[in-house]
Amino acid sequence: MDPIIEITALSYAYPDGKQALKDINLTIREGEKVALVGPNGAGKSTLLLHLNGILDGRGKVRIDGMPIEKKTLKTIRSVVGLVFQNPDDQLFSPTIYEDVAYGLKYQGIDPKKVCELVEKALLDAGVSNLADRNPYHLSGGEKKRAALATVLSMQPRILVFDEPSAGMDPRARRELIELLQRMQQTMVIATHDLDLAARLTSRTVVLDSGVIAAEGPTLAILGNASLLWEHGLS
Amino acid sequence: MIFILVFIIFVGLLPEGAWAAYILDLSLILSLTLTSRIGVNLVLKRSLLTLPFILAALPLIFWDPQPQISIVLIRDIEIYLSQTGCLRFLAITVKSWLCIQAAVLLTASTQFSEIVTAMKQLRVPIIITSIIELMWRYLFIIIDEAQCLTQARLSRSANDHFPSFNLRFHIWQARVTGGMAGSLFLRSLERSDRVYAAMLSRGYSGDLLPTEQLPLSKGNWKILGVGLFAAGLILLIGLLTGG
Repeated sequence: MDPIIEITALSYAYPDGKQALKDINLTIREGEKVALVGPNGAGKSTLLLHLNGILDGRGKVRIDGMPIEKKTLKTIRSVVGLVFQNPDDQLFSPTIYEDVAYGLKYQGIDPKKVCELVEKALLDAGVSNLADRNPYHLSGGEKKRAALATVLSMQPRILVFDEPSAGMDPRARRELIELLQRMQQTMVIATHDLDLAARLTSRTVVLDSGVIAAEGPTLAILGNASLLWEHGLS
Repeated sequence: MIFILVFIIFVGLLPEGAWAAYILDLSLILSLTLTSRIGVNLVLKRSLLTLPFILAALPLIFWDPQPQISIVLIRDIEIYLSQTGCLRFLAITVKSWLCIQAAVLLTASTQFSEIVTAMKQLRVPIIITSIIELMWRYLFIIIDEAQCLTQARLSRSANDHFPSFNLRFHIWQARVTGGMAGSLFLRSLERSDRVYAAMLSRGYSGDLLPTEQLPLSKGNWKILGVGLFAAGLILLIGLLTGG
């Protein structure tokens, strides 16, 4: 399989001077499911925000062979679907339907096609019954699935999740894992939930203090108790 | 929405002392309220929002031009009331009460998303409708955050050693509240950054989405026509009978 995400020598410092990422090198192949684990403040979310050009650090990020630059941003953002940690940040329209349609309408897609894609995304995320609801009135699990639908409607080839199971009750978490297991897209999942990583991903990258501390098959990484202890994961 | 806007403008145009027109407008609004099954009580209760307008108009009673009536309150203390001012005050009170009732009727009978859609159809600049939409969406989340902060403060406010009134204690409490407001502001600012990032992720590039045009049905046009005709007729009556 061809590499779909190629990160070379990526470094990023926040405007306040805090160095969030230092010399990150990572390649992810099409169809691969990768977990990104690490303690709070390790730089996981910062790395994810580089995958669709929201943050622009020093170094190179190539998505599907395209370097992230102004003229490729539009295409890259339709290839990479980013699901944020807090669904309230992602659901900004008055109804779920409008939110799911947002990205498509913005691309100027024909209204009939928009309707079709929105309905498919709502169905795939299991939230067809919530189409006309206001995001404020939904439960945490429903919001999370609705946020996933907003991204799925754009038919991205890469799905990027920031803490997908954070704050979910066991049933909602189980349903989310089952939903993600059915999806064929390339996935990058930043999480503290090691069980979720074990059930969904084949490769795990351990990030700590902005550097890649370890990388390998998920079961091998999760089986290394001293590594997990050292990086605050157990 | 068009009817309510026109109704409010027409009520505003009514001259002082057009009492017949005021009563007709009131009956029009009350009959619409009854038809909408919202409940007259709710509309009347919410129309108390008129109070600030009434208070703002109150000085007219004393400051408007002659002729003035003098009222002796106690010996040696008398106040002057302007007759024209009193009339103007009453007209403003009734008119603002009618307008607020109309606005309450619209907001209570129509979903917020439909009101915004109507605003877009009426060519209200898209930047304004987008701001209103986002404000509405996040207002409740910010209220929730404020409630969380208040609850967190209350859960740690177990000290009852202070007497019922202690200036230092109240100053300290005010400083804590100020800190909470600051923290709420920072949280809102950070959230707006994250929402903006979520918008960017889905292709937002600074241009706002064009509005879809949804034509009114024939039945709706008829209702609108009858409503506008009634409001126009009442305005005419008001202009002919008013002062």
